[in-house]
Amino acid sequence: MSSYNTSFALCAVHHLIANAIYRCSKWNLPSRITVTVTHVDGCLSAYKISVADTGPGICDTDLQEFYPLNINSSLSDFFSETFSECSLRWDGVVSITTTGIQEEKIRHYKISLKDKERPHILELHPDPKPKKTFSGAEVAIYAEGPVEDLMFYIQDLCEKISILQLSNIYLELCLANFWESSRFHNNETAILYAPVIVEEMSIEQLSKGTIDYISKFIYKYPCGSQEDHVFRHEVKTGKGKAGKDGILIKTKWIVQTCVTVHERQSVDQELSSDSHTSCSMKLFFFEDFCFTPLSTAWLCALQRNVDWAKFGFSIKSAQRDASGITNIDFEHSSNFKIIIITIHRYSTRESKRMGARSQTKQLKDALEEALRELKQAVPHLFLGAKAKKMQQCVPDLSKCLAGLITTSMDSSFKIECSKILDLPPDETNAFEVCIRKKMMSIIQVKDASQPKMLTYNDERNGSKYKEAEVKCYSESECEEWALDD
Amino acid sequence: MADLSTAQKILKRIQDLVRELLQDIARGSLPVISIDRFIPCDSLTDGDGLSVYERCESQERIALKGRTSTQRIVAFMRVLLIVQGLLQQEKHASKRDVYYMDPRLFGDQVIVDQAINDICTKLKCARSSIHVFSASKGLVMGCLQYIDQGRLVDCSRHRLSGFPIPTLTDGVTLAMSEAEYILLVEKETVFQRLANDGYCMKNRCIVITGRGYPDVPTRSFLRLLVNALHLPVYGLVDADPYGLDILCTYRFGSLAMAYDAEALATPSIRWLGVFLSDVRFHGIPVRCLLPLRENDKRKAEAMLKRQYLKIHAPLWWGQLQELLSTGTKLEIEAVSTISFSALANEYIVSKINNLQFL
Repeated sequence: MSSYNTSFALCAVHHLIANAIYRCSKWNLPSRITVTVTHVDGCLSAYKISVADTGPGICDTDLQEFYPLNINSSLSDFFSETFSECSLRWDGVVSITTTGIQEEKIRHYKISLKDKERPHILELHPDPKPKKTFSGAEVAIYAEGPVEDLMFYIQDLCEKISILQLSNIYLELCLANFWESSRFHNNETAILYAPVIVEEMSIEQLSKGTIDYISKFIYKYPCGSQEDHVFRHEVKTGKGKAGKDGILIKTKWIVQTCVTVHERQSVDQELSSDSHTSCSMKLFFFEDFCFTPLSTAWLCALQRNVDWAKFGFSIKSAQRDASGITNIDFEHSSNFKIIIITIHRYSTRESKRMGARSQTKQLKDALEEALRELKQAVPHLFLGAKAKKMQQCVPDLSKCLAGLITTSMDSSFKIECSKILDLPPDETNAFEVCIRKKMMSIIQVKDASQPKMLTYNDERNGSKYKEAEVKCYSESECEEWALDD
Repeated sequence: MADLSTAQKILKRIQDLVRELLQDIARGSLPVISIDRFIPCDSLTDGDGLSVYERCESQERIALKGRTSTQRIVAFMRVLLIVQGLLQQEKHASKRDVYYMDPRLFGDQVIVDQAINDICTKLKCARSSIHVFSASKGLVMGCLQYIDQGRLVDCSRHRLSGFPIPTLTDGVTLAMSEAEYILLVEKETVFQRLANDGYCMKNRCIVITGRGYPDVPTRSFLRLLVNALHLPVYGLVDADPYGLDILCTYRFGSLAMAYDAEALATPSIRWLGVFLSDVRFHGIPVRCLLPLRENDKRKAEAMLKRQYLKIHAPLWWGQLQELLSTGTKLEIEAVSTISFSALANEYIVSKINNLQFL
């Protein structure tokens, strides 16, 4: 039966889910997407994987573009690299059942992709639709072979999509006819992945969804538990956005970014043999409301164009794992327990192609804005490379400055200095510590207050949006701060 | 030695500086030290002596910015701490001593040298005022007796070698001299030639060499002699751009230590030789003229741009032009081709007597 291997089958299912989400995201009414994996009766290892949605349906014209393999090459590269050794096979046929709200019939199609160059679309006899009260689509494929990888992938994908907290979309995964001996035996059980319905897509959703995901799926804290509560209190998030929606605005792509960090607490440090241990940054990339493995080109662009050093990062390596998450390792140890970057790039209208440079710039702007916001909140975690170098000199400098005071033979001078530093007169030995702390703090504050691009956050605060550099420090201060190695 | 009141003044300035830096920090700014910058000027600046350098309006700001500036401010503060200790304890230390007080922090002697210059500029004082000195490499011989730290030094005794110039001129008082002029020679080889030929026995003079570019003690000692004895000073250097630059350092001081130029410069120096024209008038063979090398030409071109040289020493400037236009140079040793002792017996005396100097 097979003409496609596992990577194509997985790729097709990923595409079916992404397509259903995209259709429903443009639909103004609440929708339900149900991914069902059904063990076919009488066949030892045959499965039907269907993606059904209560969205607007698929019109004839969209059908021409609706091939599961009509996907970007980076996605198929990812699947072929990651799942090359699995033996799940797919016959290359997609069954579609769909109807629009105004239609009087339910249409059925079979699309054969056996000829990869020229897909064959067969329209079957439609069924009558007595009432015009519903719309939707069900797209299904049949696959044969071990299904574990597919199941894990779909489950993981659904978990990741929950990060977006999509407006008016319920996503559920159902398993049907699974045997008791199977690892997936929750027969006819639905797992719901869209816990909250919100009015509109906002960056706050992305932020909240990321925090929920970390607590639920990474830390595996029970919802509402003490650990969950503590984590939500400690976690910090920075948000950034590039692109703007609107009738008169040409931009058709919006990039939303959240950087979520959980700082290693002092107790964790004591428990760890090395107080500063390495920590990978995890990057979740979503395109048009669906998680997508980050392409190599995008990853290179991120590494090259984002000014990581300004935020204290020096990237050692970056690679995708089997679930499509990009793990970025740093050159130096970090004080993060976890750091997650969530990027959502979506089109607001019928999108036209965007130049590679503009795409990269959007991504860079959004990510740097998120990092900048986070840096202002927790400057000590994102000290730039230059600021770090400055801080290295502070102990020597404060020691000398304090030495000039403490070794002075003029006692009135010492008292005067302690007044300037707000130190009690009898604590003249505290000069060095006091000066060091103050200077370290000044460096942190100044580093976090670098000149920035006026973007999403300023727009949110009512400032006029423009992509121009603005000064949040006076010119002389900026000049003073600008390092000239 | 700087008197107590001078030391107290410097200590007071250090306190003022510390106070300023603390106020910066208390206000939430990183410490910045503004240091005067010097530029060569066309007219002579006011002061006790002569200086061709003036403070310009813009200041240099050393702060925690960039590797160089950061290293500079840290070294500045560390050396300042050492200087405060020296002044309070009335001790002196060499630049090398200062370096070895914290070699990890300084890393290199030049960092200490820069910090000392910065401190002197910032505190508006001479290097000797901060009780830091550099070891002298200069030599002196001739009709001179002086007292250094209570010990009498008779420079006429060691006729074949010469005495090291004292490191600290603050502790020197002149006892006696019957010299009629001071002869300044660029090279130690020429100094030894004159010693071997007994030049100081035949002529009542003081001969000094800085062995190349002069250090602070040599220039300071020369200035002390000139101030105390009011003698003419003649310079004997190669007729090449570097020889003339050495002579200029004696006469005008150096830009690196412009803050101290007035105290170290000796504006009355006259250039005795050698000149390219000596080939015609003193019988030096033409074959002794050497071609200028590329670096000689670059040096000459750079020196010709110094307006103060053109204004205050136009004849020297003219010689420099001649060097460049002929593309040749002449070294002092060329005089010895006339006869082995021609320099000591004929050349110098003849030039002084016939007023053949610039």
